Amino acid sequence: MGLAAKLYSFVVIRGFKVWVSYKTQVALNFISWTIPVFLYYFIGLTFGASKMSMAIASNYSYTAFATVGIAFQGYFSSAVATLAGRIRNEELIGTLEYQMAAPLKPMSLMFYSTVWGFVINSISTVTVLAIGYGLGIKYIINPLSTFVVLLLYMVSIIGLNLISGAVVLIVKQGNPVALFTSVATNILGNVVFPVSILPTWLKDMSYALSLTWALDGLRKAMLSGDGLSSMVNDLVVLTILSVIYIILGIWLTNYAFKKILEQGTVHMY
Amino acid sequence: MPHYNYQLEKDLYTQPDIEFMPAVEFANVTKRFNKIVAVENINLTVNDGEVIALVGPNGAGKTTLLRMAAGVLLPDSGKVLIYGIDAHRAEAKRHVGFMTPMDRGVYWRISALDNLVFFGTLYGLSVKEARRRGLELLREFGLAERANDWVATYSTGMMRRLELARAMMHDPDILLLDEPTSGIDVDGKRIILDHIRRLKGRKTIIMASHDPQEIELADRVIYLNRNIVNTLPTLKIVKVLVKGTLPPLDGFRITDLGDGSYVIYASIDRFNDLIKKLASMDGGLRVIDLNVEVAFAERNARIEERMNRRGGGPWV
Repeated sequence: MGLAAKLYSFVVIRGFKVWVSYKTQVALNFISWTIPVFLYYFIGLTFGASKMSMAIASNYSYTAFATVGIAFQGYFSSAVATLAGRIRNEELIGTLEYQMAAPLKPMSLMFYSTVWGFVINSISTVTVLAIGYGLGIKYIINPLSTFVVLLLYMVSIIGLNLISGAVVLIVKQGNPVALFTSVATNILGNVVFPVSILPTWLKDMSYALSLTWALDGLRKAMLSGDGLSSMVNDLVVLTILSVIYIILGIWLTNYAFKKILEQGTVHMY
Repeated sequence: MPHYNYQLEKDLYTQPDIEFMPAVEFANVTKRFNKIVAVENINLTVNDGEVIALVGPNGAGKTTLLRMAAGVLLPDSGKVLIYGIDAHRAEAKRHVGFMTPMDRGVYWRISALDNLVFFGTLYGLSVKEARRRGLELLREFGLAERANDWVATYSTGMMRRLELARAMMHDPDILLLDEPTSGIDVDGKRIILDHIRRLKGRKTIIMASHDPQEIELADRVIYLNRNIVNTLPTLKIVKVLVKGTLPPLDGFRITDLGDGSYVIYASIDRFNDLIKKLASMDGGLRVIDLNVEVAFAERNARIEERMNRRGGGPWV
């Protein structure tokens, strides 16, 4: 009962109703989700399908490669930015203090605040995948593999959300984690070009991102219909990264809440 | 016919593990913000059902005390307890409703009712319960007709009423109100004060206040200036610094400070009378500070003498 009511409040009231109250923003959101798919579709056409397919060394097209990348990259970049932005907004509006005055544990508050980011990015993901389908992508989906990779990916995203949210609680303005995940992942995250073409030092950074492994697994699961056995490497690394992110996220969140309660900066922005 | 539970009554009085805890307890509480001491070594017990007015100049630490009791600020030393539980713990927060003096703290781009439902569910209400309770409170605070309007379209006074309604959503035992009627019009103020009056005896209320009409509602007035100077009933002379239009006040010594503010002197036995008189004056009159002198008879005589000689208090 309590969980459902809180989810309703955070997702429908705080998330959806506030989001749709900014109508222009809603329209711009949809535009910003769709444009990259067309962009990389035409880039793929420009350089020729065979050359692009050689680069990604797979049996699916570059458009398919980029579409899956763009569709699921949103969780990594904007979900993290969404929570950090959400906390920042609550600080500015003054509602964070009232949320913290409620009998919610810090982890619960962060969890509920995260959910809307997942919802909005799921809308984005479905939109992008549907556009990809319209552009001729043939999805060959292995449901079990897709589910397992997505599950591990989501756990890692929750960890990153916690890290990002904790940082913004302390520093208020200017969140390096959100900036990194929203900008750098386009280059490092295996999103629109494969990691294999990166120089070694950038490749090493890319391997530290759960996004890199999740996208690799998701492409296998959704574009080739591969089973779990063909993506063991992705799953193991994804699990390790998820655990690291989650542990770091929980520790940082508890530290951040203790810090702002001690400093008396809950109501400040 | 309902039958009376004698066993329950007996248990209440005989069981050793049933204790009647103070509602709020500050024990040796100190809080600093960097080098600034906000409150120092505060000891204050607030009993169940008591209404307390915290008075004192700006920066005296009134809001700091309320924030600590609301569990959104930790003391550097000492303890803040709600029914014997640390105030920052979730179990303590369930008992507390909290309202600060700002036009922030509600979502402007959703309706008042949605705001109340949102905050109600944070305290464990179901959506249905929160909606019912929200509508009930909006009716009580004269906002029912605007329940589904965006809060952005509300006036300051309406917003203050909504904020109090929000604090009341989970029917808390303790209300922490920071200047609950500041900056609002006469009608809005009356609605809030009437509501607080109705809650007297049923809820424990701690109000930080500069307003004579709010102070009048208190069972106890605590003068605070970083540490508690004293509870007023034990003091002899009270000096009240007010700003605004002051009609003649017979029987009180008044010093005009010349900038629209006045110092009014009252012996403690006439303090309530003074507050009642100030409270009856609608309009822009505000209590800026409330200063007290310690109640030693011989010192009182010296103070009286000095006041007679100088014709003023520490503000002149």
